[in-house]
Amino acid sequence: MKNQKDLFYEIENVLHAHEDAYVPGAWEEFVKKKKRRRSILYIRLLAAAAVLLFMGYAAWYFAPVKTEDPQTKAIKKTPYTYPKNHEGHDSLIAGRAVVPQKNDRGNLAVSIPLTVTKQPAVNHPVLIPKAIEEALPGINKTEETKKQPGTNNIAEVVKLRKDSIAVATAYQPSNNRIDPAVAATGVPSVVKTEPKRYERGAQRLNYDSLANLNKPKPPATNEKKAKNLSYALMLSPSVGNQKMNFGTGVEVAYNINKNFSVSSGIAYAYVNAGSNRGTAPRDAVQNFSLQGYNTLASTNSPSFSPSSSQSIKDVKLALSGLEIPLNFQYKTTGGFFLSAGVSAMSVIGNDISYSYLNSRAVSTPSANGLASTISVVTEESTQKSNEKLTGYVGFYTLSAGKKINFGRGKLNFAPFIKIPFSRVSSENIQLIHGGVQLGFGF
Amino acid sequence: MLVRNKELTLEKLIEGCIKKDFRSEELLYKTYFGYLSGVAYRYTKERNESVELINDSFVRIFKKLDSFAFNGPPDEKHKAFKGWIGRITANVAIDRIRAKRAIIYLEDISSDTQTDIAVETPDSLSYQDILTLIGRLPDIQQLIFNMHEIEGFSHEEIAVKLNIPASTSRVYLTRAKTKLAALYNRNEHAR
Repeated sequence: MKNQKDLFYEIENVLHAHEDAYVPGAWEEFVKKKKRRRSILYIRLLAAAAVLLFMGYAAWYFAPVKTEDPQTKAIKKTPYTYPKNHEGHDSLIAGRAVVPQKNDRGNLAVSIPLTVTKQPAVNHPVLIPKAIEEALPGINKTEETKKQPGTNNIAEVVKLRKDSIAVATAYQPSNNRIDPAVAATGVPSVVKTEPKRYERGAQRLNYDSLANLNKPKPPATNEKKAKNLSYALMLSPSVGNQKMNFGTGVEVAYNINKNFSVSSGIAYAYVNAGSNRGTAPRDAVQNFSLQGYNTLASTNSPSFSPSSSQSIKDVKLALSGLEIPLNFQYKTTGGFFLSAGVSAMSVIGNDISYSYLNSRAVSTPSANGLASTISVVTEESTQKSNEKLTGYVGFYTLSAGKKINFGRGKLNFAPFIKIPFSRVSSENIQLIHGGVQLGFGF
Repeated sequence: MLVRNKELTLEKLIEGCIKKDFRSEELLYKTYFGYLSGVAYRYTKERNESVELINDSFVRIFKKLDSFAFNGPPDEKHKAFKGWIGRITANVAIDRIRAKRAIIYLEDISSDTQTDIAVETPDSLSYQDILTLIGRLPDIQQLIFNMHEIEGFSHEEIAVKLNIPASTSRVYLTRAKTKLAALYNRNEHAR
């Protein structure tokens, strides 16, 4: 006879030494399973990448196209040409003489002489309708345009300009009537207005490339860069399936263009969640009949014989961590915006607690020898788990809201919802929650 | 010498698996499948389910293989590795059990007296005999007996895994041992 130790030592040895036969096909099944898991992971990554790509494409597609002012365009496309015929002539004076000027009548007066200078338009008399020729009989356009290239005579240039203005003013497709004053004098009323004077310095800076080299860069570029970044303090109370959640942090947004921006930052988040098992404890009376009552009946001892069952009522999880979001924001008119993105929460601490329902059936034998009384006692108790969560919890974030001007900054008000990538802990707790994000941007 | 060769093979296998070498993974899987099958069956009691459990365990084993370290004598490394993968399998099994249903504790643990039952020297205990004996224990006692006596979990670790006080684990283990001894004696007398 030996004690139990030998028996359990023997049991342990036999079980450790035992090996079942290899099941054919098990490895192949394992490889398939591994591939499935990997493909699920890839699908998730691809989905996230696709969302980001789509957002990037949308940002590019909906970006407003910059439309240039036609006058600026005309000036830009007209290069400054140095005079060829008169070497040693003051190019600044000549440049000033042929410089395009804004006219009250629009750009036509500016563009015509210069175009003619670049492209000799002698073979295009069709540009001047007959009505104009009749109205302005003294003008021989062909002759004038022939003279123009290489001309630096100020008097001729001024004359040419007057003529071109006259042509432009007289030829208006929407209105073929000729101003009587123009017809009488041969000079349009526009010419009578005071000609614009340019300061020498400004003129040189605009059209002299040498002067432009030394021109100091305007500080507006830095201001523009600064405007592209905006900062905000955020506060985001929310509700999941348990108590209130809370988050606070700093957000930095980079404005890609007028409508789109990308934002990130860092925030402290405290999330509560739970899982309601909803399982009723096993019938303690039924259990009692199997374990307790028979014993009592057989022994007939006048004592309590408790029989218990325990079941998990619910599991509660409190999670705290640092969260780094990455969001794309689409701004609409009136300060409204839509935002979508992802965030990773690095878990700092967690607290998992279980609520149990304990049911006990208690039998009290009656004094007069009749059947004993059975009563069920149900109690609730809570226990904390030692399970520690580590790593990251990922969320998809969607929000829509409005920005309101407030003093020198902006107030953000945006309802949001956060959907976790997957459930967490061994209890598979769902961390979905939603709330309102309040922010002060500056 | 054989043991020495085995040791080298195991080291090479582990190195290969850490480098994600497909052949090494296959060899390791097929080498230890039989052992893990025995571990898994004690928790699932169903062959098909135990293969699933083994595959889940191997996923975790390959993932955590670089964390396996053994500083004892080289001859013991093979045994230590078996213990390590056995514990991983037990952990996966318990996670699955917990995910499926709540563990119901049906026994009163308010009072317990340990009685050391004398047993006859076990001459030839077969694997099937042991499984039959353990199978007669209540579920919670089987679980705790397997975890503590076979896989080597401490009562504190069992308490964390099963969400019960460590004292409760001790009580259940004592009861399991007492009952197993009684069942063994009864079987021996019946022969």
